[in-house]
Amino acid sequence: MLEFKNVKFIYKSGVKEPILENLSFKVEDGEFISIVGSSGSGKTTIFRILNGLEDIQEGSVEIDGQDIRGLKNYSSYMPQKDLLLPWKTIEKNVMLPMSIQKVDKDLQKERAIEMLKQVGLEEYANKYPKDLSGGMRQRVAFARTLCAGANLLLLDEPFSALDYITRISLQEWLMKQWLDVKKTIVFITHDVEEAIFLSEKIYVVSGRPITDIEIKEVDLPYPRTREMLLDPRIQRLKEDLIDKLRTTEEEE
Amino acid sequence: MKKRLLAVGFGIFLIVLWYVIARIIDTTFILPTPFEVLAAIRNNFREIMTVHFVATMRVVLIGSLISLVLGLGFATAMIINSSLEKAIYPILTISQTIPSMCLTPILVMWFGYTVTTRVIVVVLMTFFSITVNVFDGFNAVRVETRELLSTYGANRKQIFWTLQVPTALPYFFTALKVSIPWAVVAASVSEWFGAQAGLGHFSKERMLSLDVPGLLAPLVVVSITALAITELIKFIERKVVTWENDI
Repeated sequence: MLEFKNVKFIYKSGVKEPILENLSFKVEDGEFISIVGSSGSGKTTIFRILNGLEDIQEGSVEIDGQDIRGLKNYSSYMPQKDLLLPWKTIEKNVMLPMSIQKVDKDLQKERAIEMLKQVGLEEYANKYPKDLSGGMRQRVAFARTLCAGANLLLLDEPFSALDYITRISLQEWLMKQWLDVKKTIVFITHDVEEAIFLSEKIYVVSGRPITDIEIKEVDLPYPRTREMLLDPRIQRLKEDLIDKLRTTEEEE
Repeated sequence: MKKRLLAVGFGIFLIVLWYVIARIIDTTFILPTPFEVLAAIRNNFREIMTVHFVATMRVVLIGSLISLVLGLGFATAMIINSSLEKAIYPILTISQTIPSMCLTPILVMWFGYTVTTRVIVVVLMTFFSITVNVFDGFNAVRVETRELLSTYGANRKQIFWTLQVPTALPYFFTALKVSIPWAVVAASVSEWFGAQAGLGHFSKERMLSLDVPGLLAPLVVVSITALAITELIKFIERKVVTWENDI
């Protein structure tokens, strides 16, 4: 279980006003949750803290009761851009987290092939990133994220740079992956429909500083289909979320 | 292909123009024709290649190797230690504007008409651009990629070898392409001040005896050598750097 406990955070440079103030929330093991909020709302800050890229001033962030500051490799981060290294083959790119963690070479290769199979790209193992389309590169980035070995996956708008059709097919694909690998996923997006389609719960962040998170449950069974989104209850949820994001945007 | 054709065409035009002007002036010790220069190369070919070319290239080779070691060393040191970077980097960039070749006379005062003097001139001409380019290359790494690697638990050494070194490779080759031809020029020019052998030395001897075709002959060899080295570096670069930097 991931838990934010009374977290306060201020960026060291720039405006000295807190981004997060006394913020607490929880994510249960195996859940798929989305964090939505208008741009600049602090979604990414929450992620940077989770990744250990920023230090909080007060409170604690805990995984299964342990402060993340004393933990290693507790989360795997998938950024917006695939950030594949152009001089490495697809297989070597997927192996990257393991080679940094000095995992045994044979095991690295075995795991990489397994993950590439999982994302349906095993025949591209020896190709280079430039040989792949944007959607395929994101799938490789996901395989690389899985290879980091953590149970908590942090996905930061991974599909936002893709065209619409690729995006919706990757959403369906990601949902299947999640049902398969049974890991906890925290997914950042500004796309309300994407959040509804994928997640069990939606965490709405708003206000500056962020002091509270509003949680909306998405009451749909898995595996989901696009048609389910037409359900009037879901439509109402969507309108409700859009309204919330719009008011926070106007306030800012 | 068409671009290349135009360049070749214009090159031929310049040579023809040279020939025409030389014929109009009609004084070999002012401006010889291209054919007279070619004849001078042919007549002195053995001497130029076995004595002078070898002497110059030895200086180029030693100087360039020292520059490489120093340049890579300094760039790496600046990456490891940011105080060192703050102290050295600004001076390095400013010092690039100093025409190092003009320091040759004082080097002659210190080291005499020796290989050492000429090697130092070559090092001065090439060391800065290698250092600065490679350092900039190390720093061309995207912040996001560096952060991604650190979320995997990468330490500085791992980030350096996995990310910064490959990113700097294209910059390194650019530095080589710029500096090695300059090394050939610097070595030749430093020989004017006094040397026992070398392409610059040969030119100067011929100048004293008003043999202008002979003076220009080594110049042609210097140009072709510089060109050939650049092409060789480009060839190696294509083999090594198969990607486009977008990290």
